[in-house]
Amino acid sequence: MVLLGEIQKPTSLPPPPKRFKHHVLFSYAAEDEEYVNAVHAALPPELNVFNYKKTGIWGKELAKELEHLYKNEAPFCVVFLSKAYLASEWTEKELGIVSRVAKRKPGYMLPVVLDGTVVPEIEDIAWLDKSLSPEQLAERIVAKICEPPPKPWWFYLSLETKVAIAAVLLTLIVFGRQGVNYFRPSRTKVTNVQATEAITATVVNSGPKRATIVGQRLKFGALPIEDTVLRLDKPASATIAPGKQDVKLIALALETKCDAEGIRPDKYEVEKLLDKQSVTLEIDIRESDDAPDQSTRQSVTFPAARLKPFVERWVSGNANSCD
Amino acid sequence: MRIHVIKTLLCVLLAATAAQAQITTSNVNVLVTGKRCGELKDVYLVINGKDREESWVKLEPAGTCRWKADLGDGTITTSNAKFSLRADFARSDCQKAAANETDMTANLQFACCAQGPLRNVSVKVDPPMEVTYVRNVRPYAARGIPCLEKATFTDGQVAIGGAQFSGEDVYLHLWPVNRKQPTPGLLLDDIVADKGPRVLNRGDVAQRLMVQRAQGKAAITPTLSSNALSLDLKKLAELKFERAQIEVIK
Repeated sequence: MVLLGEIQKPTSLPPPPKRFKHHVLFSYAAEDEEYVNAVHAALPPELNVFNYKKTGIWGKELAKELEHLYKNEAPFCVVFLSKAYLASEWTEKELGIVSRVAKRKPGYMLPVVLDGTVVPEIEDIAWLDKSLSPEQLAERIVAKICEPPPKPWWFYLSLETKVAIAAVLLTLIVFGRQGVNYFRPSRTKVTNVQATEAITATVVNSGPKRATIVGQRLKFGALPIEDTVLRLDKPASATIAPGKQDVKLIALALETKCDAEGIRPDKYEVEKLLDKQSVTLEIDIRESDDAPDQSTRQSVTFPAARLKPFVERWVSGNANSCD
Repeated sequence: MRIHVIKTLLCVLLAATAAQAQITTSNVNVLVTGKRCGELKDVYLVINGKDREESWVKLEPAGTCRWKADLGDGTITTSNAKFSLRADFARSDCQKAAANETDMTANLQFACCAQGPLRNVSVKVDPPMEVTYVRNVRPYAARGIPCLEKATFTDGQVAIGGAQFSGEDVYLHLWPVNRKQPTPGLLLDDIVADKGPRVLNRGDVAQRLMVQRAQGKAAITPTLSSNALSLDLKKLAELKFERAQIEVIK
């Protein structure tokens, strides 16, 4: 067997397709070497003879290596058929491999019948014979190599089939995302908190489905204000659609805690403490894949000073006793 | 079955409790019921027991037997603010406001008017010193709640407006009022029932305090401690208290 190709190609020769190292493989019996050599000699001189016996194949499992070579080393294989070829155990194996590859890659096997020996493997394949001189055969091989690459399989499809396939592809593009999204849950985070007389929480839902706010509260930590449950400004804002959404939270009152003297401080006393403390906004979010009684708590801690207008509005301006 | 019923009742109770919302607002609406409500002219609101007349909030008429007030920055929270009314011939007991979330108003409804005359009481302490009075107001209407109303005067000139002794106990405190360590206050109810101005010297005050202690009217645990009198006398001496003149003005 001889591998031809790769090295330097004549300027008219296109490079072998990317995944192949060589232009063409030769498969022949030793007895036919004289004719094969003549063909090889007639090929553009830049091509070298590849002799697998001189490669790293030594010590490897020959059948496997041959199969690998025939499948992956060149886009064509010229098979020189003769009685001697069929008589040899190895070339017969080569023929078996080349036939299997040719079944998957039509046009791969290029048979040349040297002595009228025709085998079933080439019955459906056009072949040449020894009536061609080695030079003529070399020209045919070069011409074959220079042929434009075979059209892809879909080139041969009927117009109706192509339209049908295009329609299917278009449908996939348009509705494919929705299809994928069907299996993706919502994922929601509270990214920012601002406060005036109401608290505005920026909520980002990075999933494709809706999430739901099921609870919200403000925790005042060390400040003398009781933790309070907040309300949604609009009930509809409990639903968090995919993307970014501002959720307005309101309180109707903030109750201060009794101090050591039994007095509930008024807003003026509380405001003095805001600069040194922090508060935490907790929002319970039911993601699309949560069970009906489940939710994920998102907490955002921020400086209490940000709540100044909120405290001013909702903490009583009248201190009173805790009696 | 019983457990289900109890659970249901508990749920209803909890839901009802949760529904009692609170609001912080500066808008107060007052409705006075009763036959004499139309006779009320100048009506004032006492908020959180701050009973000095300067702290009273004058109400604006808002219809028959209705008044309103805008407290401005002096907002109140309905869950804990306590209110009572003062008018020319009546005062009310104390109550908390109902929250109206829709228009964010605190709504009060008083019944007019409790039986018993109103009295304006003047107290003059010699020498001038800081004096506080505390009115322990008892509820008499359905919405009423007990409350304490206070005012402190630094010059010893005390004016107690619209006292209705049938519905409240008025104590005069010569010592600073401390919620955690209650000090005995001089109960004025019995004194002003007497006709004409009364002058009580140090000994009279100590004796009255001792009697109050014995009767459990000293706003502290009843006691017959023998040294209470001498301790009170000692404290009054430390304050350099000499006398107090108590007079019903009206």
